[in-house]
Amino acid sequence: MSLIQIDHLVKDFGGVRAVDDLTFAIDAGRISGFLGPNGSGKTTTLLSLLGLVTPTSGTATIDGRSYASLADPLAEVGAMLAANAHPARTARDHLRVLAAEAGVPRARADELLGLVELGAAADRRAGGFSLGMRQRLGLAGALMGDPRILVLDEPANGLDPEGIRWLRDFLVALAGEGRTVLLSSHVLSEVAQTVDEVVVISRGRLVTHLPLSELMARRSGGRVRLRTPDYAALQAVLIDAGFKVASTGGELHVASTDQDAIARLAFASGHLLYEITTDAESLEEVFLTLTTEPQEVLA
Amino acid sequence: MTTLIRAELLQFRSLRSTYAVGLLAVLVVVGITWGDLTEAEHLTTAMQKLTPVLTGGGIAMAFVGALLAAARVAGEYRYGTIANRALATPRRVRLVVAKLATYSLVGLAASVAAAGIGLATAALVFAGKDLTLTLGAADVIDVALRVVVVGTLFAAMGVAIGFITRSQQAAAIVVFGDFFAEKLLGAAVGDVAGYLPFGLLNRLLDPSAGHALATGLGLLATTIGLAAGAAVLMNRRDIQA
Repeated sequence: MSLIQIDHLVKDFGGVRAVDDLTFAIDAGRISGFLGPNGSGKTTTLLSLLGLVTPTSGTATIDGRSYASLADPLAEVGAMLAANAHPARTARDHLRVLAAEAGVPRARADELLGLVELGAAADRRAGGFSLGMRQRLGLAGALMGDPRILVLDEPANGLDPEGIRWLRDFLVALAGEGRTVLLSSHVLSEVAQTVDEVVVISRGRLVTHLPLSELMARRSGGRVRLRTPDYAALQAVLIDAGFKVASTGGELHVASTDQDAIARLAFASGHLLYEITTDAESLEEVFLTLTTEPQEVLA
Repeated sequence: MTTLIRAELLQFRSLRSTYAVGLLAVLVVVGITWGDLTEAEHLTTAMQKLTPVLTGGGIAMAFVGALLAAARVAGEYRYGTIANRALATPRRVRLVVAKLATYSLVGLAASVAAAGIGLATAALVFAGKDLTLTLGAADVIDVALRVVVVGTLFAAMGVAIGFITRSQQAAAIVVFGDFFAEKLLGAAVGDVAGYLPFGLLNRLLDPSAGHALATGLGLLATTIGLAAGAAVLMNRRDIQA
């Protein structure tokens, strides 16, 4: 059984369907990106998983149970949701309140402030924090019960490149401890270097759920681009080997994603290569293509 | 439940505004008691001498308790922290009960202090006018009990109003709006307003009105009704982060 299971989830807000028959599952020990444009239903799905929103139909479960039925929810799941600290409360007091609720020693607050590198700001009020600091405080709160699952809603939102790098290293370290991480984002490139797999939704429906590498390969256009001093001769070799090859402006474009096989063939036939690269769509192109195309689930 | 109440008390203590509101409450108690005793020389019976203390302490605790509790609970929605609370306590009725218990306890403690401050203020005023304020233990207990009942129940009502409205502005409008609506209703219809929260409050703070136990039970029933409504709504409503 998957650790996180979203099963035919539907959520209507009045006449608006925010989540539309969404089904996917997340296995343990992975970092999964939950992607979709703004308003695609990501947050509603996460809130349903966390028991904060009641689905119209369908289920969202953790280890086969609803969040409300978990015996010690904060030890099972840590959640970071948007703007969740009182602006007039200090970071330390905010975490001490969470520690008291979780039934863990208050010293855990200082431990976590150190972990997210906010120790120096412990006695500052959260209202004066930068966006990056608030995100770190949110992460610290999510880790309060030392949970095995982390559910993070847009943790990279508004972070500068340094902050994104910090977040990436932090999440990879957490996953290295065996935790399962599900993080949402509306920008694929923000999380592409962090996640193992992606669940992409659009307008509340599943678009795709694949390992990131497989998604990129599928959407790359299947083209290897190479530069060589004698491209006509190499083109002939590649065509003889069964590849479809086009030459453009001194470059060869091979309709394949098997870059290694092409490189070996060039080497075996004695051709010098100046450059060989898989000509992939950019991450943003992949994301935009997926989320703006007519809804068709890619399995 | 003890863990939850401890966490709620820590929340309460960890905001500076708690202490600012406490100081304001002290000033209101002293101000109303002092103001009502400007002609203390004309007061003869112990009951007459105690009424300003009841008015000062009771009104201060009712308004400050209800408004503070409502603002704090509604503030949880304003700042999104209600999600933290619900994640820690997925059984939401327990969360409502914990907040009711916490603010009732705070209201109770503050009311005892308010009664003491009111009595001390009265003693000072009487001493300043070379008058005697001779009170028996029963008088003091009677004053303290009335103020404590009002302070405790209005704080709990504030919690319920905060959960029901989920907005600090709406909560304040409900508290003040009810006060003025009852005045208007009282002027238009008469006795009916006496059975509404501020009507019951006025009767409880007037020692000559009688039926103190029934009035207190009426306030308790009102509080339980509001709390039940808050719990039902909290259970049904989605919580948006």
